[in-house]
Amino acid sequence: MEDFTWLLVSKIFIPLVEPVQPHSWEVFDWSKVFGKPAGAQAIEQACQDADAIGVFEL
Amino acid sequence: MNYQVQYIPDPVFWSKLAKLPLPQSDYPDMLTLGNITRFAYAPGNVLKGYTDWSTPSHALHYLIPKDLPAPVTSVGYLFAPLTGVHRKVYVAFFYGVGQALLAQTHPMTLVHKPVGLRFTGGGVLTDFTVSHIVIKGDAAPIHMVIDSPKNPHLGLTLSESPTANGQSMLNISLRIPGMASSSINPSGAVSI
Repeated sequence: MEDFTWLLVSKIFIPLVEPVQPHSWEVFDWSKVFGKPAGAQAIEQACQDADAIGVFEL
Repeated sequence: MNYQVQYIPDPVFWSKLAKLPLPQSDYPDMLTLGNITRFAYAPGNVLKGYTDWSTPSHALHYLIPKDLPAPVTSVGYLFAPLTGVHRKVYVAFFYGVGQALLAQTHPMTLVHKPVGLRFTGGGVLTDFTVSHIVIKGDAAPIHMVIDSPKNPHLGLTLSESPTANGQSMLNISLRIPGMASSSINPSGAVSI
């Protein structure tokens, strides 16, 4: 089943998925809408928790 | 996954969304849908690294800015109204009740749950859900046929179809050479 899933996503995603918006996220000034990034610490912690659980690997 | 289509009329929101990104605008911008949901929008590339199979932390991950006020807890999809023969598809990353980051995505990404959400500057979130409701901005049924520019034998079809109980479901079909045609989740199951 894993082999089939791999075949499926490899066959369909690379030819079909093209970037729809080419801009890098870093070019935008997010403080304009979010203010100071007060959530950075919470996001970092959530990512560390995800690491501890283990990320699904293809 | 099983997508139910919900129509939320808001002409101001949808007409603005259908025209984005404007060539000369100061992003990020804020958009409000139905006075309930506030979206922070910018034309960023959420698909950077999405098909980079050599890097497992990139492949099938959305890329989002690290500057969000809180971790993303759920992902949802929006279909903008038809403009000509095209419908843009957007992905919303909800980090709070009625608060989300919004960016354009490729319809192909609806085929499965993303493996993770990758932040610029590092860090990957895997603890999030994908909404089973997709939102559209016009009454016309969704019907999209997408052929690969590199291989005309590859294709993706998304079409909205009503169910017996009055709901409207999104049916996704894949056309791949050498494989039986695949219909994804018209009734909560995968049939091949």
